[in-house]
Amino acid sequence: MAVHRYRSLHARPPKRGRLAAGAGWILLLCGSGASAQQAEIVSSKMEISSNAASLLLELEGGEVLSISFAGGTATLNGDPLGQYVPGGAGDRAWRDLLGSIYSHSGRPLVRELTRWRPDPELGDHDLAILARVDEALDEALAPVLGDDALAVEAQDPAAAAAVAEADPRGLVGRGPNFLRGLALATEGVEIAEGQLRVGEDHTVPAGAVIEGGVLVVDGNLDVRGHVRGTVVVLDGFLTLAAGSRVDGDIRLMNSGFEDEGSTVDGRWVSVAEEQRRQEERRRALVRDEIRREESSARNSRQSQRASMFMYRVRATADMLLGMTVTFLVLGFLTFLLTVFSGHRVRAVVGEVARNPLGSTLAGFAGAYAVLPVFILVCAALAVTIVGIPILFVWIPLFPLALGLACLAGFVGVAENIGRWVLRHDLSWLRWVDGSNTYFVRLFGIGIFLLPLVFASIVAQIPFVDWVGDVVGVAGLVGWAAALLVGFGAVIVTRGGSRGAHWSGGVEDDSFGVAEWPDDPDPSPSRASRSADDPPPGDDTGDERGP
Amino acid sequence: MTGHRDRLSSPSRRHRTGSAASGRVTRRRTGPGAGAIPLAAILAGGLTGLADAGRLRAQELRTISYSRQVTDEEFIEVEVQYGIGDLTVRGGAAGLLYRARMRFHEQLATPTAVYEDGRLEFGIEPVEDMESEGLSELPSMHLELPSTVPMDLTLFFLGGTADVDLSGMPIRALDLTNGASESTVSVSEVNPERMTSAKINVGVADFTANGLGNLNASEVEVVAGLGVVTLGLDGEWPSDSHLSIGLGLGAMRIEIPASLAVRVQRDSGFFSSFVAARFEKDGDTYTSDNWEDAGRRLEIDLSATLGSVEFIWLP
Repeated sequence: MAVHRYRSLHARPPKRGRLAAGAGWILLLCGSGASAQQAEIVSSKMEISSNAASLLLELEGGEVLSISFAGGTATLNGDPLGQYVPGGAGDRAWRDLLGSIYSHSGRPLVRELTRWRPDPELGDHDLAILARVDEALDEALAPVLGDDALAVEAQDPAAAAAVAEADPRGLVGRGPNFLRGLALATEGVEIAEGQLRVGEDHTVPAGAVIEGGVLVVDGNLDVRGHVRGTVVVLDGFLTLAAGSRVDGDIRLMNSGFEDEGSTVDGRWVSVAEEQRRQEERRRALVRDEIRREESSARNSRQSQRASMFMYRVRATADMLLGMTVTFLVLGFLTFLLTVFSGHRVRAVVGEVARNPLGSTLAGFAGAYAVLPVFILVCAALAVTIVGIPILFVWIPLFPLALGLACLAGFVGVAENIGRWVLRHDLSWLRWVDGSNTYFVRLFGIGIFLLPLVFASIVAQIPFVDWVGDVVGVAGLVGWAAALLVGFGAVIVTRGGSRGAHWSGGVEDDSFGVAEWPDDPDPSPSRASRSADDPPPGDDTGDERGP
Repeated sequence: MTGHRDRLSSPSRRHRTGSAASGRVTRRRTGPGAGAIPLAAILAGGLTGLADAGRLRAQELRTISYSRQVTDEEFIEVEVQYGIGDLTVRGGAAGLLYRARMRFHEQLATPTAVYEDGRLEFGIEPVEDMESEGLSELPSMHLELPSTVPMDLTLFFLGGTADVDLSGMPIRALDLTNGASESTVSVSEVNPERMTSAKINVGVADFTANGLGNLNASEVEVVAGLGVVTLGLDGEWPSDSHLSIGLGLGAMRIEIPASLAVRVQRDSGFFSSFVAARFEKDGDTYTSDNWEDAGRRLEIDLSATLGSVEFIWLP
């Protein structure tokens, strides 16, 4: 004769005779307006890192529930629950729970926390720790669940009515698990009149036909006759006598049974097992939801990255185009300067090379003086009758002259830089025709643009974009310095009309004063020679020195 | 209101982590120098980030989730200070006061989560010597704010990517500052609260705002330092309003719905271009051709130093 027993996953002993009054549940069953919702979660904090996983719940009324797995010790409100192995099964189970509830708050969080049960397949030690965690959660959140359980009963009026007609004290203090099991076990069951027993044994006598189901809680049920409905036994024991018959299901929770030879048309259902399966399904749904959410976020991020890539490519192309246009414009202006004011530019070039410090100081002074000079002259012209017509010329011409001076100065510096680089006779620069002044000036301008081109490209490359920023800033500083020095040289040479002493040789050793000596008797023919004039009888080019 | 906040000051309503625990005080970055901080921080972080890439591999990621339900709150102040990373802000479900999920390298960034006296502070800020560049994963924060409790919202975002959806959130005052970031602000549903002040400051950023009409603000101020800024003026515009725009250097695109009449008072400096179709020009004032007919009118004060401002009419 086989004797079987189904147990819930809690592995708790049957709570026969637990009839202690629980005010909250009684009030609920009696339909009182008082609320059992005394443990609503007001706030929560979940934290997961490599060496800790913790949960902190603040309940209404100020109570706090703190569960922490950190550094190999599990604690409950600061009290040690036991040791666990970091990364072990118990640790993983706890982290799985936190991972599945991180997006919940309020009532859904309560529901998930109270539904959670430790896996019975865990080792005894881990299971013991997690069972205490489970109990702590259930105890803290039970009042909230009571409300939920009522809602479940309300969905099944027949079962609710049948339970209500029994002595409710038998159901008090059972906790949320029992109530959920009760709701599940009685789902769809129509309990026949008089066939509900709580805390007492019951027998369906031989020959009796029960038109409906039978529910026994905390008692033994002995079926000898014919039950046309479903038989439900919770925390009890079921005996099916030989010749007895049950048309519906047999549903058992925390109950054993003995079948002496009955006929059961329906299914044998372990309520605890069914609960576990339902819970698994819910958790799977939550996991799927989280996966979908993360996948969606990942896809969105990838899409953003692709869009960002195209943006960077476009930005780089825009900047390179801008640099090219800048180079062409400057090249054209340099060409005009070289053709129409070559001797003046040469004087500036010589001054920059001969006296860079003086040019710089003059550049600073000039930069500071430009605006006051402009304004003072404007004011002076404006207060004189003769000056007023001149003012109309002065206002547009002064900025134009200033721009030309800056350009001439910059070109002068660029040529010096170009020659300095070419002087090093680098093999990969031999394609540059150093004998042609115009090419050297273009080359110098290109050198100034090079850092900006490099910065434009590198600034669009993730992780090293800061290098581009640094080089870009350095490049702009170089431009500013060149403009300042060149402008100073233009001032010192009075627009290139004085001091055109440059010997201009790329073969000179340095840009020092010794190599740029003042010529006491500068040859007018040299000082005023055009950049594109033919060389004076040697083969080193027009601008080459002796 | 003061009494209400006092009631909220019980210790149980306060939780604090990271910087708060170590006594660090969160400060708002304001003032003229604020714009320089992001660039300097990014450069400094970048310069040292690559050098310590090896060490960064050893950093551990930490995930924290916070949530709180509405109890008796009638109004809260929310301040979000975010360093570098990905930030999303949304309205939460009914009954939710806030929910936040933060993920960051625990030795390089510090979370801040404080709720007390009706004031909520959230943030992930770099530690003082944080090297932000070179991280295997930038910090991220997903924040849900109340959809039923009115609030003053201050949001400071230093760098990274921000996606802020203020749709339907009851906001009475908004102060949003972007340092150097790619940020999007959307308001697809009208703010149920009348907004008394709306300020948007953009440092060096690619910034897009959609549905500004749904802010339900009579005064909106946008100040952009350097970057590309798109302002979508679509939305309900519950009343005639005023928009003040300042642009330092960059490009600004202003999208106007056909139902909105706009008058622009232009105060531009050197080298700024102004593209506006369907506007009638009168000196420095540009008036849209639907000024007399449209249901809502918006006055715009536009000040641009260097850059382009383009007005686009939405269908």
